[in-house]
Amino acid sequence: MNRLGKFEDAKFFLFILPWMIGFTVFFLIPFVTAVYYAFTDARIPGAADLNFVGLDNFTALFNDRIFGKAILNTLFFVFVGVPVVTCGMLLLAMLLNADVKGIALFRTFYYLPTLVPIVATVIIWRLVFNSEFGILNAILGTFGIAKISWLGEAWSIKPVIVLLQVWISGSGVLIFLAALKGVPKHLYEAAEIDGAGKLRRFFSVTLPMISPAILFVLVIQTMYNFQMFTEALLLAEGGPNYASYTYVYDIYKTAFTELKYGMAMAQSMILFAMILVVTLALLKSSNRFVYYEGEKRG
Amino acid sequence: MKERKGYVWTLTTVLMLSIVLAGCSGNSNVESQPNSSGDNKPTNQSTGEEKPLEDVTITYSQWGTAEELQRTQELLDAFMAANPHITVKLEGKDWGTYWDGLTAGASGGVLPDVMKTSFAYVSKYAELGIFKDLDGLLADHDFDLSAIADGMLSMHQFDGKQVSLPIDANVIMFYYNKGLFDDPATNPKQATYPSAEPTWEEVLDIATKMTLDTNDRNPGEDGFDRNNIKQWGMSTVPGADLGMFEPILFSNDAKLINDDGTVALDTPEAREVLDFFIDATAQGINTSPAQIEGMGGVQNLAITTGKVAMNLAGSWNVAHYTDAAIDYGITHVPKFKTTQTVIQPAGIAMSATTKHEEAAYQLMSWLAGPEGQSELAKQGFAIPSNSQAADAYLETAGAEFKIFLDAQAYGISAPYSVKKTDLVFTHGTQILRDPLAGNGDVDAAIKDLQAALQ
Repeated sequence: MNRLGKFEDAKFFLFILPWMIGFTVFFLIPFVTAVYYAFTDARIPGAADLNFVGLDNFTALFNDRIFGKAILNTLFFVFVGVPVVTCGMLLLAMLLNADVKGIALFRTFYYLPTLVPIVATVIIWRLVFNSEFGILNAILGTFGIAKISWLGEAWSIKPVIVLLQVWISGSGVLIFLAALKGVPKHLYEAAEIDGAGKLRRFFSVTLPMISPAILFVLVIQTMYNFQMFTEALLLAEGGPNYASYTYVYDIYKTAFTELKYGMAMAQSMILFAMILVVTLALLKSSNRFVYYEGEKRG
Repeated sequence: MKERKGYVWTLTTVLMLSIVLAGCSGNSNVESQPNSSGDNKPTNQSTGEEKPLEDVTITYSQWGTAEELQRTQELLDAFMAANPHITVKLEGKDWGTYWDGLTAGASGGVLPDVMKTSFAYVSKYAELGIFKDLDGLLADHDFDLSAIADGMLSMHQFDGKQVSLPIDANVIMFYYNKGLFDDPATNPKQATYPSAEPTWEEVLDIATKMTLDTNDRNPGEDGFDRNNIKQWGMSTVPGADLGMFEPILFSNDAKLINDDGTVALDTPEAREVLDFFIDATAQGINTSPAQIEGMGGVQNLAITTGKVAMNLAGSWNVAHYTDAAIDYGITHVPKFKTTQTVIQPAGIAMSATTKHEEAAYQLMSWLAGPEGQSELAKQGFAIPSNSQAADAYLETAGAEFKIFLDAQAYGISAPYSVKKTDLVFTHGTQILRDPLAGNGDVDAAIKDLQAALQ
């Protein structure tokens, strides 16, 4: 290798050095440490009096009914919540893509909730959904509908959280809006000439053309919902009776309230595996529903 | 190409080593972590006695609101004036962050020298070995433990050792909004104030009269609209704070948890108590969790909303009632059979790894001893745990608060184990809050709670 080549290499490593340091310090070392702790009975990180317990943490988790509830709740948010939130984003994006007067103002209004800190949003939602004094029950009451304990019933708390996610989904809406803007108009014109109705145009032109954006939003939202914490904590503190208790909330409680750090790391490992499997499955199956313009197949 | 690979490996190895070494160097002054006995120290720490008059700076950490921290700062200022060679830095956090911070601090070996403890969390954190065993220090300095009630001391012990010293004697009481009782518009049935040691039967009768729908009808009257209540007679949400609810169970010969760690709520005596509140909530006389949520979310402060006549609360809540400018009265916790209450003393503990043991002890003994307790009493917001400061408290707070001292005699003996802390602060609220308000199957909830504790 000549001197110029070495210089180029040195420059290359110099430029990626910040990333490598960040990756090593903030991901690699914590990850390896977490794997180590997952097989110990450490009460707190850094504990000196820990013992190696093999797979005990993992086997104990499968007998923990609250951990089971946390998994089921999280799977609900992933397999029901993600499609609903994604559809909600798409619906909003299509409405905001309409060519009507003052649409820029509407776009601003629909994006505003995303800019509000989630803590403030959740407080507003708690007031809206309060069974006694909430505006929602007040409106329903005018139609003779009895008060519903939205935040106090196991059947309603998860849908309320999903609805909250739609409310703060401005970023996803923007991605869809950008994708919708990128669909060539001539495709719609050609479809119309071929006699395609609005529904047919949506399924045969719009959806395929924005499918890369759909995949992106699906992957991001799936990972987010697997790790949902703030909404569950602030809206109902994981209740009632653990009905909104999510996986990451359980990890937090296990580590910081129950002081079972080793167990919490075992939970983290399982979560890592679950996200990996679902995301890989999503990406693997994506070639069946994602259309990349200009991509050569076969 | 081979040469290039070697270059890459060299650079990567150097990088990794520098990161690892940099990471290790930060911890070099603390080589060991606290063990379960809580008595080991960093190996480079001086084991010799500190000279008493050597200038030293220590940290004191506690939870609390801005006002509470300000009051603590005033106490620390008084301590520093009396001990000019010791500087105390106050670190304040809110309740939730405080305990997370303590866990994180314990793991990082950076605990404050002295820290506030809760009666409910003593066992949980003492198990980690982060608290210093105080028995030796207290004996060496002849600290007068007889001035603190045994019941309070026992709540700050772990494995029979004193790991924390009580610094207040907060007690649960029953409060009523006199303004609502005195106004004919909010008390059309002319209900009287509850008596000094009321029964729940008496309170239920008063609460029924004080509960009004939008047409000023009471529960039980024809046409009472349970869906449109404008004023509730009382607010006691058992599932929201089982620790505060525990003396009510005791007053009917029931309890929260058995000695073997199993839930004790399935006895006939306990169910009688639970059913009383479920019925009162179903009738609209007692507030539900959702109603409390809509009124600010704190049942202890329900009477400050002007929509609730009576509520269960702590002695510390009088500061909030004063701030809310309401005219209130205090009685003992209503009884089923016997008058009972629970004393919930906060305490102070020393870090097992402190490098300033003598200074930390001086601060602790001052805060828990007659001088600090008298200063605390003079502030008028907390009841001193040290009986030697009782006079100072009465002088400042006045005769109307003597009831707080009287209530100490009704304190139940119910120390917290790790399991009980989990029951009261984690699983109990999750599982029981709504069933105990009539929303859900109580028997199933108790079984769920039992399973969760296992």
